[in-house]
Amino acid sequence: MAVSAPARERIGRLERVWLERPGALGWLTTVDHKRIGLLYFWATLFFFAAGGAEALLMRTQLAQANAKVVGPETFDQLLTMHGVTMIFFFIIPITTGAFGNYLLPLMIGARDMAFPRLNALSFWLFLGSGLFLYSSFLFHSAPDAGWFNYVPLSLKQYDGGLNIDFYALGLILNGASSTIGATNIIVTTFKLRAPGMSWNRMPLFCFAMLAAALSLVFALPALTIDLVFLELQRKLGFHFFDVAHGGDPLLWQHLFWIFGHPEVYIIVLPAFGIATSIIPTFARRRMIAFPLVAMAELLVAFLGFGVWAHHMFATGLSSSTLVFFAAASMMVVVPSTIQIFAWLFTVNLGTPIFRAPLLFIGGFILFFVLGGLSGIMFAAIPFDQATTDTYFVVAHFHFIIFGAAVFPLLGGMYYWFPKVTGRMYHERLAQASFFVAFAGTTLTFFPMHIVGLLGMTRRVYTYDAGLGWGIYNLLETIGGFTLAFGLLMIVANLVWSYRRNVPAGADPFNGSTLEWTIPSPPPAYNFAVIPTVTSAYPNWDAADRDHDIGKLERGELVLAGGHKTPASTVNDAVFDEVVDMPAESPWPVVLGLTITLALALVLLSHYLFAAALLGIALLELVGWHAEASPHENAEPRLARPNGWWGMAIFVAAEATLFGTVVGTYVYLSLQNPHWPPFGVAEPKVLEPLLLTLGLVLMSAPVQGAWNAARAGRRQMALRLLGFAFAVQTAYLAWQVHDFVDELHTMSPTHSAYASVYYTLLGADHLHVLVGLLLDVWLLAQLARGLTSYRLVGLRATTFYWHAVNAITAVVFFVQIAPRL
Amino acid sequence: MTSRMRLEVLQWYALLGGAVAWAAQHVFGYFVSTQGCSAGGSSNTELWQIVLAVAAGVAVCAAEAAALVVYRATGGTGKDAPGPAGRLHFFAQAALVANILFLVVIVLDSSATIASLPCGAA
Repeated sequence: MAVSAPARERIGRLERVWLERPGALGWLTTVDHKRIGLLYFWATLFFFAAGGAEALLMRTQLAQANAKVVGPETFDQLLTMHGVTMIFFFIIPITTGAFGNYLLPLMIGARDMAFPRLNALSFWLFLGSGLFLYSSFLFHSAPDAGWFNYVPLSLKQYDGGLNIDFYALGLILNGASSTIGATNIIVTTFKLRAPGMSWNRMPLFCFAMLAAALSLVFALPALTIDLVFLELQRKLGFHFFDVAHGGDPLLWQHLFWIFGHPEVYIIVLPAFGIATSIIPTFARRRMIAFPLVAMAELLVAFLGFGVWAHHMFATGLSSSTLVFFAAASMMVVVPSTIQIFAWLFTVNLGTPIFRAPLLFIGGFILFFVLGGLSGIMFAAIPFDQATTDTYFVVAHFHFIIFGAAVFPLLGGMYYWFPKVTGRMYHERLAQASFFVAFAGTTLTFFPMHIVGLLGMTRRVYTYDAGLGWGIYNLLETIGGFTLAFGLLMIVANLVWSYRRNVPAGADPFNGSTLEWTIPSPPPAYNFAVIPTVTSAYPNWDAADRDHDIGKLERGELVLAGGHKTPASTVNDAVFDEVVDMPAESPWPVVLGLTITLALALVLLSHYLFAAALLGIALLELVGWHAEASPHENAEPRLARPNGWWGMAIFVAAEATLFGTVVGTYVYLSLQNPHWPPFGVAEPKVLEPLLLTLGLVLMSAPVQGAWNAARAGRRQMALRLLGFAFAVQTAYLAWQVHDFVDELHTMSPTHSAYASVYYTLLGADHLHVLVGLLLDVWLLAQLARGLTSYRLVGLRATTFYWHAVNAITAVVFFVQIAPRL
Repeated sequence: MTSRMRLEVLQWYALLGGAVAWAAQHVFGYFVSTQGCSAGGSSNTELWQIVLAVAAGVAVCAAEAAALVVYRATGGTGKDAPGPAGRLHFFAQAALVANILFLVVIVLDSSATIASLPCGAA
């Protein structure tokens, strides 16, 4: 692109502003979404290799009858770590963390994610959780109760080591990382789309990422609560899953699968997004039925929440209950089918070029149909009951999770390799690697259908000769090694291509989306000018690209005065304001390390030291929020700021978390003829009522503080917030006093009722405490003046308090439910 | 309410109304079923299931109607048209299909009630 001297000067200024420091320190402190995406990529590949090695060890053990490669205990650890690694440390983070982070801002015309430092924190927490979990091998205590870790097998009396604690604590940390990452994806998609990119012009990849992120935010709380319940039962003797005390082991399964089934779509949706990026490029035409495909991506995610109990058809639930889940399981097929037809018709009606990325998408469609067809069989309750816990199920979900989810990733690696590196991969070797990986996948997983129908159950570490399983298992093992060879061919191709250094240019495939409009590899600032967007295929809109060159010449929307990117309105992406983005920072890596260490101390039951580390983490947060260059004059904006949206998504996740605990309360009350159990005093009403009213009324002064600050009346804002803080502190002090008092009359270890009761109240009090800490920080900040940053902080905190007050009101009604 | 605002409200109801209605029927229906089959639970939960299904069905039909109104009102809008018209038309198209699926799943959810399935394990 030939541009004038002033335009070159603007680009030079952008380079200077956005360039981060080189070397290891640069990677540790980076907040650049592309570098964080690459960090995710390398870390997830490391875990993929570990999970793959575990799989090959298991396949070697199962290659023949009565083999003795590994013993039963090691096999249990291998199968558990394989599942946990592939789900939580490979597929989810590589799709949302690596592909999502790297590509989303590039596709929507932004210069970074909405919260760059949170983005970095999300990665460091992810890495910390992975290393934490894998450190269990050093203590010969790797998780060993299967990836879904059913109780009672995973309770203390049956699994007394640290194995399950590594699992539970590691996944809680991993969940925190995923929630932060998903929140970032949602707010980025909502707020940072280039002006003009209304929803109907947003690429389908971004819809898929949005759907996956929304699923993560609403699904993860159920898993987190389940894991917290498990740890409370294992470490402190609570009774959530203990029938003798009013608990229910099926509660674990309900909560796990409320997360676990949406998680399947969380895994597959980004693959859909990659397919809808690759297909138009190589079919050389727009996607067929664009609105329906976008709808289908969101609908799959949504319906996925309604099918959790189809994993529990063999647990003895009543027929009338199971029908709800059979119905939803059948219906979720429809949006998936809409997409399959849209992909096939797009290829069929286009003029396709079958290069390696499209070949992988072809493999993906085939495997997705295969896995989908066996999936719909499980919606039929009798069939599911007959095949539960057999290798038929293993075959089904590997065709989905490997065939349908990983094949697009492999295609995506080839597709975006030239963009990320600026170099071209070797096409023929790429095509060869596809055929080897395709053959390996088929050979590994297809015979599992047969051996499953022959009766081979999952998770067995060996089997006797003469059952007719040997030949199929041998084929599967040969397939597994063939697949591993195919994957190594891909790695070898990409490494060799990087060294070979054949320049790819900015747009080697005539891709349709915005990332192909910029140089390869992308510069630190992404776009020299915020791009013009008038369709979902902006790179094919030549007039818009010419218009961008004109804008660069005029200096329009170049924003070279600092780390700046425009924010737009959520609905129609109308230009709203210019946002100052943070530069590189040491706080995310430091905070990530501190939290991981605190978790390790919880594992070892050193709670005081863990609390001390969390105190240090709070101080680090204060450092994090120190402003480098406060902007006194807040510009008026059309829409709510990024910070408000971030808080709104966080609150939505927290509300889901409370909803899960309340749902647990209701569920357990239905399992117990006497709720609360005999001997438990009825809860007090008047005192909690007055306390709750007192807290809820504080919404008024908090809102008033925000209104006053917005109008520039800082003293009034300080007074109102200070008053609210005083009342809220008194509320919490009183509640904690009552809480401790009640512990003397009813211990949380008394019954499942007591366990849920104290967990619910404790979680609510904890949220009030977090609100008080936010108040303290805001009071200190507002005392030093009003800045744009502080106003956003106050607005977000105001929203937080409204939400906490509403949650507290719900908790109050649950608390007094036995009296209603 | 201006015509534009009316269309905005209808579009969001069309897009989200059916989803919320199905989710409510699904979750409450599940809890009613569990309550009916639990120890000491009510033996006659069919009425509740029917009320839930009818209420959700009506809400979904209304969402479908809202989608149709928005779709027709933005009929001449191109698929790449800028927002709000382009977005209204886009989401109305999506809602037209999605609400039919929600209606079908509500009917399927109700099949246990219609068939008077027992509480025993399947």
